[in-house]
Amino acid sequence: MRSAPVLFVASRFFLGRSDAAGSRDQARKALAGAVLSVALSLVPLITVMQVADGMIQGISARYVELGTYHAEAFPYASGDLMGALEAARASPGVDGAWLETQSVGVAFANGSREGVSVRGVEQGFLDSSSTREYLQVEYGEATLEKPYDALVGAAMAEKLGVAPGDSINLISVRKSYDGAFLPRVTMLTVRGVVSAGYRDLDAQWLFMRQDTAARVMPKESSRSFIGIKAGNPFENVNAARDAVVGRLPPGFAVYSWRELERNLFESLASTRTMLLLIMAVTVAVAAVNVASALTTLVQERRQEIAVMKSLGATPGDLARIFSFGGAVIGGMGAVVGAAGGLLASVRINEILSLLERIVNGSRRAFYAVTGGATTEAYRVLDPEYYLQTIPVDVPYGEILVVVVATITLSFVAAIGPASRAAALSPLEAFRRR
Amino acid sequence: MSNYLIECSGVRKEFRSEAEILEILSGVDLALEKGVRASITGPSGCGKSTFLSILGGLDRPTSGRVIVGGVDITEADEDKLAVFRAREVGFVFQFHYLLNDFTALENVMLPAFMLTGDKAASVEKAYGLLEAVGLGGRMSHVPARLSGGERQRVAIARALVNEPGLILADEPTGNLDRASAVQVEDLLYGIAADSNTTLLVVTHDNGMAARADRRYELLNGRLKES
Repeated sequence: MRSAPVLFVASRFFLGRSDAAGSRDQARKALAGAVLSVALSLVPLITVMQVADGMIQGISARYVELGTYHAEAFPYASGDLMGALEAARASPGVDGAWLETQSVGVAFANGSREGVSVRGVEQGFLDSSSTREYLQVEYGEATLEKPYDALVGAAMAEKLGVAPGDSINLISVRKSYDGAFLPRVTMLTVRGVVSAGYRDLDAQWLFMRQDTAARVMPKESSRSFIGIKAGNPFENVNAARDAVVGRLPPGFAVYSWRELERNLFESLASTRTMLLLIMAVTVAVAAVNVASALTTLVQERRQEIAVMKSLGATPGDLARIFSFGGAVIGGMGAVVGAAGGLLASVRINEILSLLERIVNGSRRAFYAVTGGATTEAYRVLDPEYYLQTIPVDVPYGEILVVVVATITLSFVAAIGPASRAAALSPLEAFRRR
Repeated sequence: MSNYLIECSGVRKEFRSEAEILEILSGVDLALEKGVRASITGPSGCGKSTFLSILGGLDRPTSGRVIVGGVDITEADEDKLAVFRAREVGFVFQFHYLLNDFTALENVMLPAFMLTGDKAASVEKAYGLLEAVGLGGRMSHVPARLSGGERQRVAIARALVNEPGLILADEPTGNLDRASAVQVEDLLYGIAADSNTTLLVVTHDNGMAARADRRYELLNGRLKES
């Protein structure tokens, strides 16, 4: 049979006519259910895919642009830091290179204390466009004009109860010649409260001038290096590293951002893969529904299949009719599911916000009635661990792959029922009447 | 070249179950020329329908040889049998076996559409056949909206659409009231005569059987001309 009659018969078998005898509603309901189950399985898959991608991309971008730079050059032995900085800045393709001194300490203010990750940075780093894109100034300004100016992360400012103009005592510990630990207190003035939009970073960072940090922070617990930015770090992971390797003076080791935070990024990627695998199971279950619905249809259509055979349909024709139908069911479900998933993806922040409002409203109402005490507001994604706002960056290419894979899976799921239809004995079907 | 449209020799058919082997046909011989209208009668369960199914390529004999329209259907594979059924045979069953989700016109045009892939030509042929069987006003009706006699007439039109050399009718009036049965009987014999098509009718209706050019009786697994 040619394709046109196959499509014609398949469309009638699967969609039917409203004025036909309604004795086979069971199969139609099963088919509609199969379409729905495919669609419903894809909505969370696509949403999780987008959210995971958005989260990973958002977190990665913040780490790369604000934390690790695109690459870092570390001196070993007696590497000439200033000479290397000049060489890095002069390297073709490098967008910026800055000195940074990192250390750790304890910040005291208003009777509170917090362990801090001290970052002695250059103003040029704070002023660079890629830093500005991800480091939002919540209060004050992002300038380190005076030697003891400081910028603190929003979460830390909240814990310490400080605002621009307030003072912070930064305590660091150095070892004396005789081995005793000597505390050193440095008084800093908060010039701005900044946020990376990622609480994990906002809770630990304290920015101060690089020259001050190099001077006041103990050498044994500090490290100085050159942070380098070049090109798009996600399109070419090694762009910044490759731009400076061979141009720096001897005594430097250069690492790309992925090498510096390998564990973090692999952990994020593994989490995403695991989530997608779990979601893929629901798609596989939906494909089983497709097979089940088609089996019901084949059972109900035994007589019609027998008639088709008596009219000259080959087993192959019947297999094509039902496997094509399976693919169409998968396709319809995939299109509806992809549309739903896309809608949920682009509105994910509003959806989560609405969900939180509903849950928190219900809890308040419950406690108002029962007289209990309301606890901390419920957050779907705890900002301690996730971005405060999920970046929306729809992965259209991946969605297309999912849709095609779903259609293929449905087609494969239809092979069993299609084979049964092909192998059906017309006489048996007629006799069972 | 043989003058016969149907040539059967020594056709046997057994049904095997765990308990027994039931021989339904015990060496049936039959030769029919093109254009002959024949009938087969016999008691219920004697194997009339089974024999018809074998002639139509829907079933295979346990042994023996069946040649219809020059095609040895005992040797043909499934795909060849499908082509044989599409080109050479038109079936009319006791129960109309129309496709419920298709209109009368679509039911009739479908075998031609399946065979040729030409929808327009198939529809045109189906249109003419439905007019010929008196259902010009029922083209767009689905089977659920047709009477029993009308459904059977649609089934006859469907059997004719590929202009087969052989029409096999299995109790075509068995499920109809007397008036409808007469209409269907007239139609079948009339069309077969007009188009010089071989007609083989299995029936319990002696009146219908008597109108055939040749009458056969199937008894104890063997066919006898009466």
